[in-house]
Amino acid sequence: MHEPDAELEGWQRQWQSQDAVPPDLVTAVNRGTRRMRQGIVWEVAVTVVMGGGALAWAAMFPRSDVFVLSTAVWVFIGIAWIASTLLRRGAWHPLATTTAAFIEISILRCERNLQALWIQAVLYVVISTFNLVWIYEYQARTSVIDFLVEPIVIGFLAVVTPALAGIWWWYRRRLRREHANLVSLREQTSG
Amino acid sequence: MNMEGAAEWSALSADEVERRVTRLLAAHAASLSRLARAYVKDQADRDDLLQDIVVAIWRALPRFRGECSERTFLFRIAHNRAIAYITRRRHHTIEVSEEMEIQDARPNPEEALSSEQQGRQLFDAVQRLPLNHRQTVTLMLEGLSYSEIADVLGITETNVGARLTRARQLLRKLL
Repeated sequence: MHEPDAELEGWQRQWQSQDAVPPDLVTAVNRGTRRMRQGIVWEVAVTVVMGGGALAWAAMFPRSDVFVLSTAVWVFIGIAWIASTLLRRGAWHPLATTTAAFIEISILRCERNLQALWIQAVLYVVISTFNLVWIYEYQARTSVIDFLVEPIVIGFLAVVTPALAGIWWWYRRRLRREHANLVSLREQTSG
Repeated sequence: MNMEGAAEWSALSADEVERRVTRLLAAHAASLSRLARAYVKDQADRDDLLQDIVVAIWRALPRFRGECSERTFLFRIAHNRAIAYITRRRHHTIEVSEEMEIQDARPNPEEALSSEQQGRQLFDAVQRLPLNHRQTVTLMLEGLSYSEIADVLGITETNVGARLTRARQLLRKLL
């Protein structure tokens, strides 16, 4: 016969007597799920606008420069989607999995996110270079040097790019810290 | 597993999901709130974590096929979100390592603590436990069985027993 555990029962009573719950919890859930749906719509909208816009532009202005640009837009979108799909393989995050499995998948996703950062950096350099070359070849009427010192080019190279690099670096540090925390948690919970 | 229950869960409209979440919260919000408190000290952070947990439950509910009990389902999500939350914060709860000498923090036995104070003291002690013990203890204090705790954490029942034995020793020193 199971012996009553007075110590455990006492602790359970003390523990379960603490039951303060934020009063607006359900309201917060409604807000949170609306934000989630808006986030998904935003991702699709960006792809549709960029890719669809490029196609529409090529249809309205059948010129070689427009064709080159719209083709490049779709090539870059394709590369981004392929990279995203490959990085997500095996890292599906079922919310209700066991804690041990959750930590393993979280570590994998963190590592994939770190890889994705490098891919994004390379894509940024490639796309930016393509855009500058395209603008120079089809739009500029000056020498290369004069083109590179135009205010908008300088603004892009000297202001926008370093700012984005700083954000990239900050996010990469945050991901590395998160990865270290997760690895530490895995060690703590494996005992 | 109740197959009728599994079939019932598998086809949920958005309105049904909202009704289910509301019902689950009515039954388990206090447990989830206590679990959040076991991971995070600051009240504002606890509220953030709790909302995170509830949103995760909302997202996971349409895919729930009754493969485990409702309580196991909720506690798995809650623990997973808590882990995700603390790994993204620069600082999280300072933990007592098992090797540390723990000062006897028990009050003068002649001073009777109120039930409220005892509860707060218990929470403070649980927050100081190493994570693996804290996870096991919070589930035990919520009344889950060894097999339910093993199911939530993805460990064996033997492992649950070993963790709980050590966790109780640490709690006795801290209380």
